[in-house]
Amino acid sequence: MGQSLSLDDEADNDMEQIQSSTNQSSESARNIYNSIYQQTSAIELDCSEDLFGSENIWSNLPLDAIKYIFEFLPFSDLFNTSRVCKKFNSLCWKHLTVIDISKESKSAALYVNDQVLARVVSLIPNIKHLSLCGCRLLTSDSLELITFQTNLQSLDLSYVPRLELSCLCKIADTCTHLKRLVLAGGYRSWDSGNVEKNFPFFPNLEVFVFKRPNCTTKQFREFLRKQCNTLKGLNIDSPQNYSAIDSEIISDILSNEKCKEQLIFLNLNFREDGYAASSFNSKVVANLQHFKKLKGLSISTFVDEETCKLVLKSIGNQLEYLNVTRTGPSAEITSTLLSVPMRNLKILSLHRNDLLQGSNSIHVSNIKKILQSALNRDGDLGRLECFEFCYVKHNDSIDELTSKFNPYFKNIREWKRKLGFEDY
Amino acid sequence: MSETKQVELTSKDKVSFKVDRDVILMSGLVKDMLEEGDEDETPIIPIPNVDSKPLQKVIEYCQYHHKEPAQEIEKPLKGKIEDVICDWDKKFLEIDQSLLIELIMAANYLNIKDLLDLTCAKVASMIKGKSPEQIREMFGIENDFTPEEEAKIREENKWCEEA
Repeated sequence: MGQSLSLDDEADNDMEQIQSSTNQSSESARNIYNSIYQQTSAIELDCSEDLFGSENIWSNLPLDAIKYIFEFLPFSDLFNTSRVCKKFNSLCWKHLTVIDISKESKSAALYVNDQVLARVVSLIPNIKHLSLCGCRLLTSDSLELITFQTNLQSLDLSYVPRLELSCLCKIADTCTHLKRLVLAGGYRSWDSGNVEKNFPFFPNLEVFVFKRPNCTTKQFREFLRKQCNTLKGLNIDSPQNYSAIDSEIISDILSNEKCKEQLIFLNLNFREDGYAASSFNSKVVANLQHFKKLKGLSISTFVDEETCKLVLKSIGNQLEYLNVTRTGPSAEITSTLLSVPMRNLKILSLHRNDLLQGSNSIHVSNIKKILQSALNRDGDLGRLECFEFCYVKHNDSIDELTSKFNPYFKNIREWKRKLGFEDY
Repeated sequence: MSETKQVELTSKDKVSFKVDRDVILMSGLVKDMLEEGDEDETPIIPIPNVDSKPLQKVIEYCQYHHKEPAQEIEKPLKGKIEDVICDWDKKFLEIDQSLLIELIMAANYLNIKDLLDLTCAKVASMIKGKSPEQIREMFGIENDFTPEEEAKIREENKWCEEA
């Protein structure tokens, strides 16, 4: 969470600069798209002899073989390759189906502006997975070009603060195969005060992640309700502002019959101080016992011990990931965890921030009990690989217990990635 | 039927090679041709696109690898190609550039996926980590960008330069 938060803050700070800076794009993203697209499509039709001249050894190679060579190159090398000659430039990108800007270099996202995205989208015709996480310079000018990627299955537009709702609507209309959408942070035009009312609809969306949304409005509630029919994973993590509608959104999702049948993971971590208690009530949370396929659950609170027992007795043994953000290893949840078999649980997080302020002996002894239970590999918590918890004072017996697990035992990010739970 | 059946391949420059049938079945093209035709004693298969020198290498490759299947080469390449292939393949690749290119063409034409992977990955490995100038020089390719175009691409590539 730490990293996302800082990204979000940076995004906000940056907005000011972006808006005050003069528009550096001399050429519109769409023009770039059109010219590159035409140029490279034409090259496809030529034979390689025309490309390199009959003298050159490359001239005999079939285009397919040349393209195949480029498939073995890592992304970073493709840029040098593209600068060799026009033919290389048009051929070397074609095979790519996965573009994840932030994975390519640390500061990559800082440099990706509308021209760059226009170039990427026009040179690579068949992107299936596109992540533009943290590309703060992008505007609708180039983001709308994503609509040409009709085979897109997964799209990450988190921390792209100038993404407009109208642009997302266009993407929803053309990229109908989209199965996964990740959003995060504040998007300017989405604030409730703004005029845009039309939310998009993605007909085949299976995974929807929205971290730190600032738009838990009536329209957003309506949007979620429509999308719930197809969703298998839903993550609404830590809304930025408390909204009176939060409890209704939570109630909508937890009592939705399709969600009960279909959801594999659910994150309803409405965690800001004070809000959690008012947004959740035990009657609604008790619905979780009917979520037949749920493997991952992140929730602010189970409200009380009774509800916690009710839910975990029903679905606890199928869970692989459990994160209860507003409940530290309190007596209630610990006693439930230790009395209900959770033999598939791999990641457990009871990381309650306000507990950092002070630890008490019950807290420490609860952590110990969970660790001891997890150490018995045939026991009810026997598959636990990661347990995130907080305690302030150094405690030798806890350290000794954790040292018996994998050294990364407490690194939840690492484990989420390792186990494919990033969206949870 | 247990005795080894043979196939005769004729190269572009009319050199004949006798090869065990199950060795050359690694070639998708030959396999298809043999399935079409009937069971001659020693069928003769012309390979009009491939010279004897690369064909000889191809046969060498098949003779070794039909019993010792090659490990798949991961895409994109991690490190240099030498880090991910067996010693035999390393030796096999000690050839000049023009023969390497001819081998790619042969593997592509004869449809031998593992050999195509090996040779294409070798070329990719040669490109890896090199500047555009070095790549041009290595393969004798002319720079057909105008200075303006080059500057523009450079500018647009900034974001991936400091990985």
